[in-house]
Amino acid sequence: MFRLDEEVLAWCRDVHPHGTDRQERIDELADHVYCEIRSWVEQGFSEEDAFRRATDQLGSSKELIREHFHSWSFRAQARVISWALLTGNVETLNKTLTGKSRAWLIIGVSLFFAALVTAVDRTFHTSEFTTGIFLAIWWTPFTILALVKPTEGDEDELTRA
Amino acid sequence: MARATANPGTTMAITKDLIAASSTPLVLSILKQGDSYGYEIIQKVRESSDGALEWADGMLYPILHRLEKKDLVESYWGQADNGRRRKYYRLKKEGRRVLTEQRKAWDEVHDVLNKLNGGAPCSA
Repeated sequence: MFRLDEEVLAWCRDVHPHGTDRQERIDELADHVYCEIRSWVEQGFSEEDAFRRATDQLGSSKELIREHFHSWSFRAQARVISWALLTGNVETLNKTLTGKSRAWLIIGVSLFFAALVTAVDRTFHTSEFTTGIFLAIWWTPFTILALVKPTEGDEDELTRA
Repeated sequence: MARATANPGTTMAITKDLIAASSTPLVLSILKQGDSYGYEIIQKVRESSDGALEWADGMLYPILHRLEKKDLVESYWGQADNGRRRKYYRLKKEGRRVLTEQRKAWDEVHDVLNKLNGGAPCSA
């Protein structure tokens, strides 16, 4: 049996997986979805069909997440990306990163780890083993980022960059 | 994301840049008429343009949140007629000022286009 409230809530939670004001954004989006559903129901569609049409009209959750992600604060973005990189959460990276932001992230991560490896090596005169571990850590984000497929519209972003 | 219908049967794609540039004055203009919420704003854009300008629903909320961050609008929670929570947006003083500025800028661009086209409609 189709449970409209549960479906709407689940869909909205999927669009807003992170953020300090997550609940507020979920409530706002849910209100919008219900408005769309009502307009479809008034046209004679069942609640289930109306829900599908409403969410299709809003766009894929991936597109929406990306739209919303860019309106988050820099701190919130950095926290989500850092956590996704540390945990190897490719799905989150795939939902949030565009070609342009992925390029900046690669540059940022490479500079950070290059500086870190150099500083540690010069300060502690590390062994080859330790340096190797650092290099492995350095390359891990690249491997993860390489797994991330470009999001829709990346070509546009890259063209503009 | 948005398409403008020039004539029945023919569609003219509006570039992302133009959509982005016009979104702020359009949202601010709607809020100048009174407090509103996301779904209603999209409907008003659609109605005001006779369906010519259709925003993708997903693009509005990031715009509203950005305007709120810039202190041009403020939001508050109210109640919809179905009893659910609804977030309303209200134009702030700074928002009115920015809207006036942007309207002047758009009018100037419009005047230049008209002059260059000898006052003829742009479709000519």
